[in-house]
Amino acid sequence: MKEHDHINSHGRVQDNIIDKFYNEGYDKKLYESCKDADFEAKLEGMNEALEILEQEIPAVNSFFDIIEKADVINTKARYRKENALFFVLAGAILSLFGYLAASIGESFIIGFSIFTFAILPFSLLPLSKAALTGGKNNG
Amino acid sequence: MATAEKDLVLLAKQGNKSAMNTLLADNYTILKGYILKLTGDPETAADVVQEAMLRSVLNIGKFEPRAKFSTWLITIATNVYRDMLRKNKVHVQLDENMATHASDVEDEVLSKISQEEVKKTLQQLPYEKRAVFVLKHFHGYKYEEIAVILDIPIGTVRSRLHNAVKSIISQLEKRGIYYEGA
Repeated sequence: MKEHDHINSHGRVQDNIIDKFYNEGYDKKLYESCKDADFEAKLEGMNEALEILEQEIPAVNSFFDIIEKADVINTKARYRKENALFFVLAGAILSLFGYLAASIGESFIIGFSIFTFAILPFSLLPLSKAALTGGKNNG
Repeated sequence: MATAEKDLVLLAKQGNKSAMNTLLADNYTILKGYILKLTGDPETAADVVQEAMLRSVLNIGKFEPRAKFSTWLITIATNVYRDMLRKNKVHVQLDENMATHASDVEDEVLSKISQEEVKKTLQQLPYEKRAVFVLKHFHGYKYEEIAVILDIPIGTVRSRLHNAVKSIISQLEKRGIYYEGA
């Protein structure tokens, strides 16, 4: 039991030394009262041994390829989203149209056709102009 | 986060490719250094770095400039590497082309051997402890920051670091590359 306690307290002292070594909060009282110079020397030794891994990074100056690749992925994702939205909306409109035609009868189809042809010039002309001028008003 | 980096992040979020390029270039060294030490293999490291940077560009809109951009990049890269480990896509190989500053051939060979031994020591640690150790030892992150990056409690960060350090010291002693008298 005593030996077990000794190992535990020894481990706690070393943990405290590690916290101090890495500039984290540590128990100053414990550090002052229980010195472990051997372990501190080993920590410094480890630090020195690991310095060998400090030089290994080849430089890369341009990351535009990655940015372009991300652009392509984003564009594809946007197209997929827009396509899905288009098909969902088209399906919904056609279903609604079918439902109304079935419930109201052929008068709905005739009325809808007349309405569509009537508003066509008023919607197509401004749209065409906007498409040709790119949305700029040249007077 | 520094004002200059904040401005760059803002511009990058608006789609400015030059700002994004600068952000990646500024943080490439720290990212690659971290991943190289974590993976111990340049080929795997290159894959992880490439994928992490791609994900960062794709998700720059979601980045909250509360933390440093490098911390965010490291978080992404850690997740990429963890995913690769899960899918077993990691190359089990130690690199041959790490630069050394040895002055002559003998020194260079000895340095190379030591380097490989040190790398093996690091690679023998389980991934969870290795990630904590690399972030703390080589990059000086605080326990709180590591806890955020790895999404684990601070107590776990502390205990993993303690275990990692003790394990490394013991391995270095076994391999005979422990430097006395430091």
